[in-house]
Amino acid sequence: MLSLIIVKAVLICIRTFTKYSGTALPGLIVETYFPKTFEKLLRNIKHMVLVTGTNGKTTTSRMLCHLLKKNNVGFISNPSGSNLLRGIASTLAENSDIAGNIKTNLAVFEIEEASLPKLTGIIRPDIIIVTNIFRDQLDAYGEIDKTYQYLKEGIEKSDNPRLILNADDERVRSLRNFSKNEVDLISFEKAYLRHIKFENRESKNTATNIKACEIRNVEVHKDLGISFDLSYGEGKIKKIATLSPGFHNAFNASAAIISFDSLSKLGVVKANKPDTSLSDFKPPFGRGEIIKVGNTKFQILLFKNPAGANLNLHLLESVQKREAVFLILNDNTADGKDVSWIWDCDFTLLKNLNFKNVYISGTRAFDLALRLKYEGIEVSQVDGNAHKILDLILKENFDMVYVLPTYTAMLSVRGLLSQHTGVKEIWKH
Amino acid sequence: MNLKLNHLYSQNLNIYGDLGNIIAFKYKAEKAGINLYVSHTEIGEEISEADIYFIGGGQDQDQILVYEDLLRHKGFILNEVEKGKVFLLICGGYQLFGKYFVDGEGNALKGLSILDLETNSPDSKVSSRCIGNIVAQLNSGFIKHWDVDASFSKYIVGFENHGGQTKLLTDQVKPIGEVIKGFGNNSTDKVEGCFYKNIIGSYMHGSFLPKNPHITNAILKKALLQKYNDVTFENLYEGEEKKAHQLILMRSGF
Repeated sequence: MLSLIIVKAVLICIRTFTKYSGTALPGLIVETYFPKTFEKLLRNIKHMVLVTGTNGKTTTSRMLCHLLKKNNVGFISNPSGSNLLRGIASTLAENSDIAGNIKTNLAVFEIEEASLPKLTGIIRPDIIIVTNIFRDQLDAYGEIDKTYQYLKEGIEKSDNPRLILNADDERVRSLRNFSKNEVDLISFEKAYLRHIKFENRESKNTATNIKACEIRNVEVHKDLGISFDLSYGEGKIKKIATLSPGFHNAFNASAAIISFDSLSKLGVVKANKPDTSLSDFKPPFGRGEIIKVGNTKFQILLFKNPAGANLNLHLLESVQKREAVFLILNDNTADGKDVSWIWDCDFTLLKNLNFKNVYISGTRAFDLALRLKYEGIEVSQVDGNAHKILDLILKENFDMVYVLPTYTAMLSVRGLLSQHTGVKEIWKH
Repeated sequence: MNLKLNHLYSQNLNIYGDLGNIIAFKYKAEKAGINLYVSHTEIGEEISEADIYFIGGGQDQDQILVYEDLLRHKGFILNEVEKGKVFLLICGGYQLFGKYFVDGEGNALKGLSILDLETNSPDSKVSSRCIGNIVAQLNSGFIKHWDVDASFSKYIVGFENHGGQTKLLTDQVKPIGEVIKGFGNNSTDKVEGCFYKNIIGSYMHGSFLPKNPHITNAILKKALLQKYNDVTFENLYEGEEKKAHQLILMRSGF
């Protein structure tokens, strides 16, 4: 197909002549100028898993990909952060030959909420995982009720996909009514919900084919990794461990494992005794990954909305040696231009942690400094230039620094740290 | 000195960091040596009397729920307004005090009709919502009535995110300021918010008070003056407040 030759040429040019990965532009060309090609490429994929929701998309889809890889299942997936249609189109174009054939018959895509109905209008996924619906980037979406509408429409258009849903989030739970297929409802034991404020709206159940799964006995280890028991299907209990930090990652791990099981039942996984361990899974970029520079380890915990921020602050309670925390608030488009969400974060959690050093940076450093001032937290240093703060931090020779950056701040802090070490480009993950 | 603050409908109207206004009230009151007692009134409850009332913004569905409940309290609220009690109304709360407002679905809902204003759905001039950083220069009438410390700043800054287009209908309601950057009440009039008696209505979230500490001070002082005869109030500021305020001014070319 001519369209694919053009797009592939563009991709090669981008990768050869620029430092960019080409995860968006080729896809944008396909999506905009060759919609028929996009549809054809999509229809060439036999099985598809979609992961959507406010928080946890990347971790959940990376975990599923990890399990597939370990069990020698061929698949394609979009790079983290490229979760609009153009990211998916790029992935398809890159993995097809010029005739439009794709070698694998399985795709795992993380997809941004508003794009879900656009995609499911073209192709029916086997499985849709919905992690949660939180307030996030309201400057882009307007309202969270609207986010819910996108998900509902996305599922309805999918013609009864298997659903894997967060049962503790009432909005997400209510999505069970829009598919007649099996629905896995994953919930935490009540005690863990203290630090997650789901925005609950009551819903009536009309779904009949529900499987309840419960996460129990979550332990957060010294390195902030977790282990827990997942009870699902006819009283089976599975012990799961992962380095992804914080009890909330128990949901992501459970969703990944349950979706993997479903793919096994569909015959996509050929292994007789599949290996479903996540203990060797490395947290993806910015989601608890650790970067070491000299003697100092930097653990990066993405900080982008009140729900996620509160969970990460709560997580730091498990840290024994509280030397330094570095918060970075940017207000670029990918971060959300509205920074008012920092006023909805529970910074009493941070105050009670009494970190010896609190550093602040970002394009809206002073908004964050003011937020912490009003909370009564003493800040060691504020500077809009993250480079300067990192230089200060490196001189201190800390063992561990917890970095909480917004999305673009995370990209730039990784960039700065990579000048000292060899951090992989995100798109190569 | 003591002040009571009642956060009305905190469960339903609390989107876009409105909580920051309560945090700002608490912090500034403490610095000024005021004991501030914060209470909440939710849907179905009776409103407990206070010196300052705050209402934030919410999603359409929540705003409709609140609107049905709020109409019950019209008599009480009117009485408090006449007494000179202080009201800070942001976005949804602001719209609810007008004659009517049209929600995102196009349904017209009757408001409290305390403020001579109406709010309509976006016209063709704005694609869907008014979203972004906003700067307004305070009107002299506002500075005078509220005794605002203009030596801190003649401007107010914030982040707006609203579909509703609000029109001030008569001289009863006067705008707080002229919009220098952003939209304000609507996409054409270039004015932001309104004031009437001791009510302030504004579209500034993000959050309004922390970045505009001169307004927080003015509101606290006004509330004290309504309650006590002999009030000494010093306008105190933090360096961080100044910097957060100035950043938005600088970005707007000041």
